[in-house]
Amino acid sequence: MKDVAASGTYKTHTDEALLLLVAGSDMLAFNELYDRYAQKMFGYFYKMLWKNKELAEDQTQELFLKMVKHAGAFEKGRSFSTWLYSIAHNICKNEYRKAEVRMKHAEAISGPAIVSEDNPDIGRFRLAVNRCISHLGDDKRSLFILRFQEQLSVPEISRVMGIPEGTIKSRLFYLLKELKEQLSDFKSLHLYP
Amino acid sequence: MEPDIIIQQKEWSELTGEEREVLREIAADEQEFNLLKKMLLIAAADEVPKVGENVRENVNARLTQRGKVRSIRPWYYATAAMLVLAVITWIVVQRKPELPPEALINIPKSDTTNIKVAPTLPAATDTLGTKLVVKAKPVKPTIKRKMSPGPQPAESSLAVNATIRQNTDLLTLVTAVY
Repeated sequence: MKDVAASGTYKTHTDEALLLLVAGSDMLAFNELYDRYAQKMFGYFYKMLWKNKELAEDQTQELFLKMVKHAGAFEKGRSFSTWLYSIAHNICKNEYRKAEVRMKHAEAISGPAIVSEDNPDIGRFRLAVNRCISHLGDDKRSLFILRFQEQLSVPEISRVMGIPEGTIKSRLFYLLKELKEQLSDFKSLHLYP
Repeated sequence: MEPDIIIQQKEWSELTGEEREVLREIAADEQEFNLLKKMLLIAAADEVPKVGENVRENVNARLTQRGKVRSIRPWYYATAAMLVLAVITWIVVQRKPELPPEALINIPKSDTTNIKVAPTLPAATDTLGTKLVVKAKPVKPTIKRKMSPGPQPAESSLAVNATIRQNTDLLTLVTAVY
């Protein structure tokens, strides 16, 4: 990779333009994309991979290496962000396939409850929400994180997961219904601080 | 509007009849609506630690390493390609069959000396569009023969007669002989 002398040159470039430069082995363009997406993608991996920081960092590293490797294959007109999430989503799917990892984290999730001192109800509710999310199936958890935590639109999720938009909408609807039923114990609690 | 967007953006009292209908199955009353609203708020505010600086360092190190490997690879490929080409050429040369004797055109020596190859002409076409094929034919040997003098013209005979008439001695001799 070559270095470009003028730093900060790429601040105004679009993600897609930067990726083209990355395909041409431009290290500075890579660093700019890393600055823009590293924390975001790490956050995604952290939520998807059972809040395991080490594992999330490993996968973030893997994601950026894959990004460089496949930069030349990026289709023109496509959104870089969605493309990156697609790669990250596939990495997570591979992780889910590893039964050993799944078992290990399932045990970690069922640890002792930490209740907020300021508002015990809020603390318990937060824990219950996290447990619900972690116990969702792989596809449902992906959907929940992409929509409610990463704030992706339905068309974007459709492209990331490779599922039709209508199916995504329908699944989101039933996901909310399922979560509401699981959290019904908290219905009568005063949840607002 | 999507149900989750309605829940996130509005309060129960602000919902229109149409929106309440959309949400009827998942949030039939205010309590359920608020429960989902709070759940979405908590999920969105989920805290994430900072990504370690070692991630960037590791990625950069791996990319630099990969770059070195890439710069070496073309030389390997070029050398390998040249070797393969050399081997193929050697095999082709070794396996090339010699032409059978029948394949050679047996031309008599006498003919070959006189063969003249006609110059290659562009394929000529006549007015009907049919191609005229010009065949090269052996040129017939040109034999130079000694030619007999043949009959003399009448003028030269008269000239001879006139000379003889003038030479009376010769005429007398010839008459005496005959």
